[in-house]
Amino acid sequence: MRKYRILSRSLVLILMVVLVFYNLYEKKAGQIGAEIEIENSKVLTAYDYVFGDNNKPMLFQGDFEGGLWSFRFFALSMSDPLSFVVSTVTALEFNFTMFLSILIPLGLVLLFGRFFCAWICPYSLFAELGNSIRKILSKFGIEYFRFDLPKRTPLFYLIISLTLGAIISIPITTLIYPPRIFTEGIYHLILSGFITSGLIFIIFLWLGEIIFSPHLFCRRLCPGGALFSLLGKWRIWKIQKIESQCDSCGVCNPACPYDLNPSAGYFPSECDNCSLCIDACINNNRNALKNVIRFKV
Amino acid sequence: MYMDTREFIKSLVASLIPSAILVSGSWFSFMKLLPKRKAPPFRPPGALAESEFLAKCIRCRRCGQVCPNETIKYFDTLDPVMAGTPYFVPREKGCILCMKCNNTCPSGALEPISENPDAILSKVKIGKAVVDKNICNSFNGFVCGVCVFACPYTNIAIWGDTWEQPVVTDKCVGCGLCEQACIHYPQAIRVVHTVEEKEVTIEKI
Ligand code: SF4
Ligand code: SF4
Ligand code: SF4
Ligand code: SF4
Repeated sequence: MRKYRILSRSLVLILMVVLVFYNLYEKKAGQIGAEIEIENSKVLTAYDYVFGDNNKPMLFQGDFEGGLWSFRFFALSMSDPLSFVVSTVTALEFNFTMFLSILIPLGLVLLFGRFFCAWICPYSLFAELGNSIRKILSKFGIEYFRFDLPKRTPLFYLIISLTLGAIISIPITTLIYPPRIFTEGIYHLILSGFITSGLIFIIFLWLGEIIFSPHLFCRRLCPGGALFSLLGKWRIWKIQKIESQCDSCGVCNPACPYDLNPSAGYFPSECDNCSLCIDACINNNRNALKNVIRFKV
Repeated sequence: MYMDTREFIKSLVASLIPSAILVSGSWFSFMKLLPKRKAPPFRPPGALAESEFLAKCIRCRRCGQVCPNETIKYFDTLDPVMAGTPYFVPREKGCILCMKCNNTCPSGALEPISENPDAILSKVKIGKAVVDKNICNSFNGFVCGVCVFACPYTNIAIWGDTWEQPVVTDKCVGCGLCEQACIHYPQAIRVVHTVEEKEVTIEKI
């Protein structure tokens, strides 16, 4: 499972980069006199090699724009449910078009809970990498802190920052939301070559997580995770413990990035089905823990 | 969802800290950084009044990706209020009024406007062009009129008087193509905010 998750999130990250370049290429190909800019850039030349040679459009007709935070693919427009919540609460106005654009992601969240965190969000990829680095470092005998915040902090952060944001009319909640930061960071890095303040925050956060506490952000601050946990209460995709196969050894508990208690068979909606507990389980071959999709009765 | 008082208070404090940092950052930006700007930025066509725009825009950068003229640029500073919002500089790249940005905007921070000229003339109001008669070539003995013909609405938004002296009418949408095209350095025609109108829209709400 872990392999597939790494593959899926890397794919998302690569796609985010590739599509910004694709958008840039499309734009340049549509401009008269921009051939020289395409020639000057190795990447755009490569795109020209793949997509070029057919009649270059005179009017820019983008097939794709945006990133993980919000994108359009032909006529299909999709946004992160958090973006809708934040924009609606901050502006105190319901926008129906935007509501339509979150319907598909919202449906997926209702069905699969926090799957977004484990399968799509590029930051969780880095967080897991950080955790591996931490493990390697601790083999050399370096002791680290394990710092933690109270359990309900994400929910409280979501509510408080939304309220304060509505009061001052600035969407402050999402200033620290990784999918948004990655979307704009990649765009800015490619278009202007500068690193954004958001990416600097992410880098420091990542280093901080390696030193102080693995997965701290996802577990204890992420507003998106909090929202998806709330919405994913009635999800159908869960991990289940088979009582008869489990030796109650508790090896799976420290593996859980969300500090849940897999060995007690407790999988609340904070669980993002990352399956790290399944990987850790010594009775893996007996399926003591397994992914199940089941409709609630 | 059982939670005891201790945990409630702990979570509250822990979540207040990042919120407080972000709010004080915004406060700093409102009080110290925004007054330092000489003028508020020009937003893409269809943008709501500034305060509403800042609240609604989700900073997705889709408008800039769809803009065929590469008009739209983005703030990227440590300033948490402005960071990630779109703007354009008329002298660098004017807006060709294609109305792609506001039709793609997912959040409604840019209101969709249809592509026909009447709709554009009546709904787009980025600002208004103002001619500086002291330096404009046409007012100083050289027949020029470049701006008049750069305008997508020649004779509606701007027309050339005797010796092509530019006269801007109230129909001007503030796209900035005239400012971009002006052959005088520094530009003799420039787009300014129609501040009164923006204030009226804020009062209405
Ligand atoms: S109307 Fe067209 S040219 Fe003008 S800012 Fe929007 S996308 Fe760019
Ligand atoms: S498309 Fe709309 S929401 Fe996105 S950055 Fe532009 S103005 Fe903001
Ligand atoms: S006068 Fe200038 S700013 Fe006004 S519509 Fe014409 S080109 Fe645009
Ligand atoms: S282009 Fe500049 S100098 Fe020429 S008429 Fe217009 S404002 Fe005057």
